[in-house]
Amino acid sequence: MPELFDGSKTTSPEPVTQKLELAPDIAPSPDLSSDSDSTHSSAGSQEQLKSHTNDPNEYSKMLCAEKPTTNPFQAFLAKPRKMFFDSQASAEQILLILRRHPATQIPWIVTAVIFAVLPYWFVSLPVVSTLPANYLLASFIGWYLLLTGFILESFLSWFFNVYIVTDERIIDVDFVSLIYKNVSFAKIDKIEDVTVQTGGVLQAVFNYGSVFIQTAAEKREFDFADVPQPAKVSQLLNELIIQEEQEQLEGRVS
Amino acid sequence: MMPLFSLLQLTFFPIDGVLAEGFGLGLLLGLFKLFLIVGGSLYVFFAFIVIRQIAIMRKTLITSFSPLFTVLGYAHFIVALLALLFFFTAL
Repeated sequence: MPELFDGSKTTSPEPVTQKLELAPDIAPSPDLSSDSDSTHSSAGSQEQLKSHTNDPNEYSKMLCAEKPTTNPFQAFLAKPRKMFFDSQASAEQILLILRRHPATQIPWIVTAVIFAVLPYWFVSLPVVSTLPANYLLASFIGWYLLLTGFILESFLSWFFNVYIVTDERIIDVDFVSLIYKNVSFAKIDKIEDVTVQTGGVLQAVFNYGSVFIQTAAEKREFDFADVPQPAKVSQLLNELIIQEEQEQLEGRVS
Repeated sequence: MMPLFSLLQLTFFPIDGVLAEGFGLGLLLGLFKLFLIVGGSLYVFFAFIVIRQIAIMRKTLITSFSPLFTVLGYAHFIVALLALLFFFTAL
């Protein structure tokens, strides 16, 4: 049994760090409980416990308020449609996919713009203007090729570095470089503590921050860095944890 | 058979350039050509790795736009190859 909702963990010395407590209004709805009862009355396995619903809205009140997302380029994809991941089980349902907030991508975009206009300034230099035309053209091609590679890499890195919340697990997909991939999983019932951290002007303006998730899994801490609407993310996690606990309790009772 | 050194010298440090524009500029342009060809070759390798990486990324997260990324990766690779060809032929 994970150490959930320990009151001693709810205080934080830092004003920008918020440790989450269970809110009474996000307990599982009665209809969901009754549905669970009917499902696992025959056996108490986790698969059967989970097979009671296919509607993501039944997992969370937060998700009920969100529209299904069809645009895969968003940073906050609630109930995403036509999106899957490689180790997804057939009955597993993606509830939320998160990326870093677009505001965190401003530095490389600005860098790309500066590097795109830089050759026009270089051409005016006397040393460069003495180069033969074909050498000048070749250097332009080389420069913009490098820039294309930089933009492509930065975009791919942003697009495919995702955090996924399913009805079973949380998943952290990291592509650190071209040749390094790291995918970490933790089951919802292994989550011990969820911490939301926001701070700074940009984070306050654009409403993004980091969600730190302590787990009892092999990877002790998941860091959902710079994700949009961190409060909603933590709310969803809390709702899933409560539901998981509820299902475990009901499983033992039956 | 022409010695390898002489072949490289003629390729990257063209003698007519040396005679016509002076040794300094010819050497500089030769070095510049060498730099572009080596850099272009490395970039083609990088573009190939990007294609492989996109394939891995596509398998990890499957979206409706995944085929577009594959096309983008191959287009990037072809452009890199064409650029390398240009460095070889036009310089």
